[in-house]
Amino acid sequence: MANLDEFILQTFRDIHRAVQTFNEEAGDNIAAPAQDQRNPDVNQAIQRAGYMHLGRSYAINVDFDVAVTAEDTTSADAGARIDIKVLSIGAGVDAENRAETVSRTKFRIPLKL
Amino acid sequence: MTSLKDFIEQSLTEIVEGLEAFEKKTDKATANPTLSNDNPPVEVLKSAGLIYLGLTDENTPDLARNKKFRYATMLDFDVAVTVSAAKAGDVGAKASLQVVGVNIGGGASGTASHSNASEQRLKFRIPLELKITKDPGVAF
Repeated sequence: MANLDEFILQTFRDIHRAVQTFNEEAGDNIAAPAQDQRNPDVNQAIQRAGYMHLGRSYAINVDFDVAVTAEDTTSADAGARIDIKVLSIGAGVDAENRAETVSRTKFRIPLKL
Repeated sequence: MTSLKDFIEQSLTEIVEGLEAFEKKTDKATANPTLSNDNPPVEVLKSAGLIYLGLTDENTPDLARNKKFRYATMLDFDVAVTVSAAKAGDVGAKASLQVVGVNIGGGASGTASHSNASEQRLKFRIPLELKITKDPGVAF
């Protein structure tokens, strides 16, 4: 299992790198193209399409729907600590002195590409 | 399974390759036609699920003669991923995301082929501006 922060980081990294690599190789075809920022019609179209208009650019929204478990990893050395772990499919529950409950968390984070 | 990065990149690439192959094989239909009009077809594009991006760069020599409108299609990704976590003690290693089920559509609803209580789902929409075809296309 990975921590939730690692999961978010890797998601953004993968999306960003995929778009970047595609744009380097795809010639005139452009993923996440720049818009004409001076044109109010364009800015309106960006917003209507569900993107977050940032003035000179825009952000796409990434919706996360993640199965997580909160692990109490409190120890005498490190003190009180809760880790949010993202479940892996097929991952068994580690019964090693951990009280775990599977939960789902949903959130949206804009990503400017 | 494939990585999330490879999956996104391959999806974008195959759409472009599909359109290019289509263009070579037929002259009776036009994919991604050029829009020409005095007024920006914002509403037309919106109702078609496309996004208006403004005018073509008028400094581009082959496009300077005609005013043309840029637009992008939108790829809706609805992806189920699983996490491959870095092994403990593996310094510098990162968690990787593998795609286990997928649903792509231009705004259409649908369900992924894979469903699991412990799966992670990611939804996002990437705009894709495709190369403008030579065809004069549709005038409104």
